[in-house]
Amino acid sequence: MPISLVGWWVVARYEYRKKIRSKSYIFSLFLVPLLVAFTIGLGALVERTESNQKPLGYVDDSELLVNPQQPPVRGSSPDSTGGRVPLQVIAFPDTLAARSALEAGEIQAYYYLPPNFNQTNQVVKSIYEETDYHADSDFLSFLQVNRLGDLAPEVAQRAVAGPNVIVRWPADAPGGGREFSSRNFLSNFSPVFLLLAFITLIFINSSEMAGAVAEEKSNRTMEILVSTISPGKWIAGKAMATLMMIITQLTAWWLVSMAAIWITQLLGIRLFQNFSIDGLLFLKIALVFTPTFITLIALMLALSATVNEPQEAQQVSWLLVYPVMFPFFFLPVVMENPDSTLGLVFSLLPITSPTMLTLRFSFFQVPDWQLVSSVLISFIFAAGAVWLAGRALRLGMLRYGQKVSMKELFGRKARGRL
Amino acid sequence: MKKITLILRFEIITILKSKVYLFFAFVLPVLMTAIFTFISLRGRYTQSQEIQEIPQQERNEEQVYSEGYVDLAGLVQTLPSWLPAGALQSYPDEFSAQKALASQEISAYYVIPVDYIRTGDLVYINPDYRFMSNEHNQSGFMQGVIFENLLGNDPGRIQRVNQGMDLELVAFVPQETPQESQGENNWIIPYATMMLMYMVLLISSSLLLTSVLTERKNRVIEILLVSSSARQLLTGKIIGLSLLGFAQAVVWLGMGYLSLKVRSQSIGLPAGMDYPVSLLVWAIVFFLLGNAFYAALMAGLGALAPNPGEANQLIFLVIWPLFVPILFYPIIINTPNSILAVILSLIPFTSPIAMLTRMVSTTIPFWQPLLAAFLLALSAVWVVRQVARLFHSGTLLSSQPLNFRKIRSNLEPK
Repeated sequence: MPISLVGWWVVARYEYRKKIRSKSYIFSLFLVPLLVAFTIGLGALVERTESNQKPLGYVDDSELLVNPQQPPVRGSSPDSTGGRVPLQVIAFPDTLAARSALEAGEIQAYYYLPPNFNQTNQVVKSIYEETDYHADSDFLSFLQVNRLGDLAPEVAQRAVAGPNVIVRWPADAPGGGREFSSRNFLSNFSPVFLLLAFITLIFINSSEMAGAVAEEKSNRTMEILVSTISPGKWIAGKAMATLMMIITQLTAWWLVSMAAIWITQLLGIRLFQNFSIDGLLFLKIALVFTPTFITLIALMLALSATVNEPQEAQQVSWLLVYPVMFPFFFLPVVMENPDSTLGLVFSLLPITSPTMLTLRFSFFQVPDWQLVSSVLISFIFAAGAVWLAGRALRLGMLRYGQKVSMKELFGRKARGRL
Repeated sequence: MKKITLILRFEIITILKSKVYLFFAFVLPVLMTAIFTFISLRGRYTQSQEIQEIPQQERNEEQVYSEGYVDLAGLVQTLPSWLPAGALQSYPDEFSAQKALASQEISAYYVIPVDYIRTGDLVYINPDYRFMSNEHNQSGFMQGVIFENLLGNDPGRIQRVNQGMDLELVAFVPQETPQESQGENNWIIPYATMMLMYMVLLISSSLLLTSVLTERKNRVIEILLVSSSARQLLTGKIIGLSLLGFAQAVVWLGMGYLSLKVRSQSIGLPAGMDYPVSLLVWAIVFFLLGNAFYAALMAGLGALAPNPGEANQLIFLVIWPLFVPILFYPIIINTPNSILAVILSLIPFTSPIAMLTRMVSTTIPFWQPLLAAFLLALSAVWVVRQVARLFHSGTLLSSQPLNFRKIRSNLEPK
C-alpha cells in the first residue's frame, strides 16, 4: 500500500501549471476562435462581394406603373439581422435608354413590359451577364406591390413582403422557449458552434490525456511517484488537471468570441447584432459533455497505464476519440428526422451521445427523459471508466517492457491479486 | 531510389501491423456501411408498411393539425374557403390560446401583434417545430389567411398578385445553361463525397505525423538518418503512406458507394446520379496530391514539435483548412459556381475536398480541376521540399520547444 504524502490537488496543480505554460497551449487558447472568426468573416466577405447590388431597370409600355413603389423584401422586419436590402428598381423612358444604361454598367438588367402585359403577363429581361440571385424575385415583388395601387402603400408592401415568422417553443417546453427568427439568425446555429468548440477541445487534448501516465512510466518518474501518492489520488489529480485545461481553453475561447462579437456589434455588422447563446442550452450541452470528458480522460489514462510508451497510447487514443465524430456522418438523416431511432440510439450511447444530442438540440426539442437517460448512462459509463483507469494503473504502473493485456485487465485472477 | 523503396516498404509493413490503421481502414467503413444499410432498409420497410396500412383515400390527403390564432391587429375578418376545416381557430387573447395548447385542443398558435403591418412579425408558438425542417410547420395556412385579409379578401386583387410574370430572357452575350435540378436529394452524393474525402485525407495524412513522432521517440530516426538523406526519408514515407492511404480510400469509397446504392433505392435518387469514371479519376488525382500536401505538412509538424502533446495541440492549425469546405457545404453544393466555391476549389489547402464536391454537384469547366490539380501539385512539391529542410538531425533529435525563430532558421537556404 503506497504512502500518501501529497494530495491529488498537488498533482493537479503541478500538471496544470506545467501544461499551460507550453507555447502550443497558449497558442491554441487564442488561435482556435480567431481561425473560426476568420473563416466566417472570409465567407461573409466573399458572399457580400458576390452579390450584385446594381439597380434593376424597367421600361413600361403597358402603363401599369404610374406612380411606382420600390419592392419590399419578403419576410422582412425592421430588426432582421439575416435579411437583405432589396435591389432598387429605376424607370427608363424606352429600351434604347435602358440598354445604354446597361452597357454603361449603371444597371445589371432591364425588364420590358409590353403594351399587352396585363393580358399576356409577359416580361422581357435583357442582360449582359448573370444577374444577382434575387433580381427576378425583387422585380416580381415590385410588380406585385404596384399591382395593388388601390391599397394603402404600407398595406400593399406588407401583403407582398409577407410576415416575418418568429417561431418560439413554449417557455415550459424541454427546449426552454428558444426563438427562431431572422432577427437572431446567427443564434439559431449556436448549438452547432458550441458543439464544434467541445469537439475541438476533445481532439486537441486527447494526446495529452493519452500520454499522461505513459510519460511518467517512460521517464521512470513513476517509481518516485508511487512512494509518495496513492494511485487513486494521482489519477484524480491528472484527470483534474486535464479538466482544468479544458475549462481554461473554453473560457478563453468564450472571452475571445464575445470580444469579437462585441467588436462586430460596434462596427454595426447586422448579422451579429442580436447574437446570443441561451444559458440553459449551454448548461445542457456542458452537462452532456461532462461525463464524456470524464470517460475519455479515464479511458485514456487507463490506456496510457497499460502500454510502455506514450506513443502507443496516442496511436490507440484515436479509437476512443473518433466515436465522438460519428453522428456527423448521419447529419442529413438527423436533420431530416431528428426523432428517428438512429438519433435516439446515438443519443443514448456513451461517447456518441453528446454530439448527437447537441445536433438534435439544434433542430428540435429533445424530450427531457432522453436527456436525463443519456446523462445517467454516460455518468454510469464514466464511473466504470474511472474504475477501470484505477485498475489499469495499479496493474501497469510499475511494469516495464510488458503491456497489460485485456484479459488481465478484466480477468478474475488479476482482480484477486488486487 | 533503392533507399526510398526500402523506407517505403518499411513504412507499409509497420503501418499494416497497426491495429489502429486496420480499424480505420477496414472495420470502421464496414461498420458504418452496415449502419447505413440497416437504416435504409428499415426506412424502406416502414414506408411499405405505412402504405399498406393507410387507405388510398387518406394517403392523398396530408395531415392537418388544428392550430389557434390571436389577432391583436384585427386583420383577420374571414377565413378563406380553401382552408381545411378546423385548421385555424380564433382565440381572444394569448392566455386562452395557451390554455388550449396545454389541453392539446390545438397543436400550436399564432399571435398577430398590433403593429403587424409595420413590423411583419408573426409569432408562432409551436412546441413541435423543427428547425431546418418543414415537418410540423403549418404556418403557410396562416400566412395565406393574413395575405388574403390584407387584400380585403378581394378575388381580383388576389389574382393580380398571384399571377406572377412569364419571363423571357435576352442575353447580349451567351449565358451558361443552368444545370438541371436533380431533385430534393441532390445534396446527398456531394455531401457524402465531401465527408469521405475529408475522412480519408485526415486519416491518411495523420499516419505520417504518427510515424515521424514514433520514430523520433524510439530513436529509429537516428538509424534512418545515418543510412539515407532527409529527402529520401521523407519521399519514401510520403509514397508509402500515400499508397496505404489510397488503399484505405478505396475501401472507404467502395463502402460509401455501396451505402449510396442502398440508400438511393430507398430515397429514390435518380438513376443518373452516379459516379462517372472521369470523376473517379479526378478523385484519385486529388486524393494523391492532397495527401502528399497534407502528409508533408504533418511530417513538418512531427519534425518540429518537441513531443506528441505539443504536436496534437497544433494539429488543429494544419487540418483546419480541410474543415473549411465542410463549413461552407451549403454554398459549395447549392451554388457550386459561386465565387466562394470556385476560390475554395482552387486554393491548394481546400481544393481536394471543395473541387471534388463541386464536380459531383455540377458540370464545371475543364480548366478549373486542371488548374486546381496543377496548383495543388506545385504546392505539394514546394511543401515537401521545405519540410525536407526540417528533416535533419538538428530538429529531429532535439526536444526543444517549438518557436518561429527555429522554424525560420531551419527553412532558410543554407
